[in-house]
Parts: sequence; structure tokens; C-alpha cells
Amino acid sequence: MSAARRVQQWATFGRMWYLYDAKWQNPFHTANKIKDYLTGSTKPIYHPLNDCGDHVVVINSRDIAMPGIEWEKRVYFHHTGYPGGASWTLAWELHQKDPTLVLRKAVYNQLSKNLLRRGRIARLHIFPDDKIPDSILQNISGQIRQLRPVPKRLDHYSEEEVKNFPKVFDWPREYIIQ
Amino acid sequence: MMSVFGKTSSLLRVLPAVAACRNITTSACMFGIKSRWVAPYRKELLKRQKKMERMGITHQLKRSEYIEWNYDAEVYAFGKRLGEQFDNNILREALTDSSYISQERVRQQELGVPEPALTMTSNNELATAGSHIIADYSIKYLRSALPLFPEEGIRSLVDYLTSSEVMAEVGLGIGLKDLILCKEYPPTPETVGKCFQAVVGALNASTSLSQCQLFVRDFVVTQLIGKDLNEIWEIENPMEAMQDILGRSGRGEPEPRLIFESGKNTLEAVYHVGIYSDKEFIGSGYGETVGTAVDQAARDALRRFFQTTAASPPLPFGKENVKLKAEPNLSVEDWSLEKAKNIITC
Repeated sequence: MSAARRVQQWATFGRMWYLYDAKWQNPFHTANKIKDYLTGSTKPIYHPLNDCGDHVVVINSRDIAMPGIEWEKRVYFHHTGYPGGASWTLAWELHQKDPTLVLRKAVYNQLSKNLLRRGRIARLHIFPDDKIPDSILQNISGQIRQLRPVPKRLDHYSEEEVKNFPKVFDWPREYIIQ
Repeated sequence: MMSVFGKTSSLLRVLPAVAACRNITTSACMFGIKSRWVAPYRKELLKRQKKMERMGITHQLKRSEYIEWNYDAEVYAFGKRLGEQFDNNILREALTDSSYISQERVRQQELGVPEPALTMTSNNELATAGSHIIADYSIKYLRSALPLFPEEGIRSLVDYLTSSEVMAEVGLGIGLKDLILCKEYPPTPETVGKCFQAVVGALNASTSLSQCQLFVRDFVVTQLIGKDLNEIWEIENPMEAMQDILGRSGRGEPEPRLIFESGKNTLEAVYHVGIYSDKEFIGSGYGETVGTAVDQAARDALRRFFQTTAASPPLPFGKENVKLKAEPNLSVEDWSLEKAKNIITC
């Protein structure tokens, strides 16, 4: 094989490193998106035995947003294998213990339940905040778009923007809000 | 039954030399006769074959030693198969190797013939004539088909086409293996190549030069189809060559820039480097390291200059008449973009 064809092959089968900001994102919808990148389904060279999955680096997993009352009601079951080893942990408790686990388990449960799953989850790197080791930060080659827009807090707007915003209604100045 | 058949088929695979010759066991296998004598018979044949190989007295049967061999008919059919009108005597001369003549002379001297047969002439003259025609036509055709390709590249391609391997491959493909009269069997690649060149010379002598040139185009030059021309002519220092060309063309110095990289700290790092001259893109390449990518980008830039990329039009082998170009192409040392603009390309 000549050098030109060799490097073309190398580039075709090259692995991408994607960055995803999980702030304010639904972990289950996110997991659905991320699993496509981990399996390599987005590529035209995809085949389950091709090992063409990409790496995904997730930041701000501490700030994920589950819908409704999931934080209070969702329960993660674990059994150590020994008698009396069953445990039921609520989502908010698990998140306190390890802020990466909720998203990790969501992705793990979305991947196909075969022997390739372990290899694919190994290529998912989750960080609770935006501090990433330099060695991983330098690898990154692309970004996955967020699924829902992150709302901006009122106190993060500048005073001018708030003042110049075209208000439809405001209380009269004399009105006392009780 | 099944075990015997299994054994026979495995023996068939194991006995290549015995399977090559035609004997009763081949017929037995063809008709599916699974008698108990078939396998032991083949085993014995293999044993004897191995013994002969150890003693050095193996003899590979040529087609002419089997029945129904008519050399006159074969020579006639050879010409007709190619769709060419050969003169019979000239073609026979082209198929006669000098080793055969010397062998014949020795044999006739041994038999006591006073004047050994001197009527046969070897194919040396026709071979030299043929090789000149092949080289000449190939150069002119390639110059015309690849007008921007440097002269050194054209020479490299023609050297490849006239190399003994390619000539032998073409000769064997045409069917010269059993038609050549030479000392050993099978004939060596050099003998086959020389004979093919002699056949070209014979064609030129039998018909016109233009007819012969069409033959060379259809059988020799077509060996380039599907081949990467830049693989056959590899430039040693592409970065230097590209810098020289841009300098001669009055363009800015080439700047390699990183277009894309992935997995920098991993073993599977991919780099995509582009080369820019005066902020204009001229070529890009991939690589496992930045150095490889820069080298490939330089090669890509040269491919784009010379119009030998994968997307370039293929060599013209259709009905269109290619105007043969006698003047040499631009040399790599003289190549510049201004001069290239003056060359008309289709």
C-alpha cells in the first residue's frame, strides 16, 4: 500500500473526540444522543464489528436536569451479591455521592446489551464540572450541540438589557405587592 | 463412503503436482468414483513424484507434449485471436528464441547432420525493433495524455511499461508460453518479454507502423489502467520540489497549517495539514504525525499541479485519436505554473 492510500485509510478510520456540555440538559435525552457517537453510528463506515466508536467528553454533569420529580422518585437498585446486600438509592442521593453516575448509568443502559458495551462505555469520559485534565482537553476535535437551550438567569443580564427590554406589563409604582 | 470422499478431496488438495496431470484418478474423481484404489494410487504417485524431485529428474509437461497439438494451427490462431494479420514467416521468426537455435544445432550435430539447420533466425532483431517501437510510442502517447506531467515522470512510466516484468506479464497473457520455441520450459520471464517485443516487431513488419502502434496502445499502455502514476514515479523530496516550483512561478513561500487534529495524546492521532501559498490553498494531506501529514500535503499539491489526482480524467483509450507528442514535457527543474498555463489540457 502506498503512503497516500495508507494515510487515507488512517484518516477514514480515525477516532473523533467530542465535547458535550451537560449543563441543564436532560440526562436521558443526552444519553440517547451520546450513544450514537460512542457506537460510531454517525459514520458511513459503521459496522458493529468495526470498532469505529468515538470518544465523548462530558462536562458539567453535576448540573444535569432531570424532568419532573425524577430526582425524588427515581431509584437506583444495587445488590452486592451477598445476602442482605440489596440497596435502593434515590437519584438525588446518588448524585450527591457521585455526580457522574446518573449520566453514566443512563448512557450504559441505552447502549446495546452486548459485549461491545464495555468497550464503548470506556470511551465516555464524564466530569462533574468544567475542569478537564489537559491530556484529554488536547485530544478534543469536535463538539456535540446541546439538546435544549440553557436559560439565562435574570441576575446574569446587564442592567441596560433589563431596562431596555420591551415590557408588556408592570405593576403600578404605588402598588404594594403582598 | 463419506470418509473416503473426504480423504480423496483432502488428498486432491495435498497432491498438487499429481492433480495437475491427467490420469485415471482425475477421471475417477470427476465421475465421483470413490473406490478404494483411488486414494492409495494417488498416494503412490505422490511418493514417486517426490522421489523424482529429489533425484532432480522431474519433467514439466508442455502443451505440445500432449495430444492434439498442431503448431501451425496454433500460430495461425494466435494472429487471429489478436485480430491482426501477421506474415507467417516473420511471426515464426519472432517466436524463435536464440537458445532454441543453439539447442537445435547441437542436436543435429550429435545426430551427425553435416550442415546444421541455419535457415532459422532468432528473434533478436525483431525484439530490438519491437522494443524501440514500444518505448517510442509509449513516450509520445503519455506526453500527449499527461501534458502537465514532468518529463522525468513520463520516463519513469515508460521504464515501468518496458520493464521485463510487465513485458512478461503481457506476453503470458497473450498466450506466448506454449508458442515460444526456446530451450527451457516454462520460458523465463526475460524470454517471454523478449518474444513479446519480437511479436510487436513482427507486426510492424507485417502491417503498418500505425497498426502496430494501436496494438502497443491496446496491450502495453493499458497496463497503466488502475495504477497510481504517482506510485510508479515517486518524488524523493516533495516539499523541496514544491518550494522550487512556487519560487519559479513567483508565488509566496508554502506555509503548512494544521486544518484538523484529533486524539493528539493518543496512539491513534490524526492530523490534517493544508499547504497555503499567498494565503491560497494548494494541497492537503493526512498523517499519523504532523511530519507525515506535511509530506503528504506537499505530494497532494504536486499531484494537483500535474493533474494526476484521483479525480483527474483517465488515460484516453477510446476511439479518439491521440495526437502523439514528440517534444519532451517540462522537466521538474523547469516546471512552473505560468508555463503550465500555456499548455492546453482537455
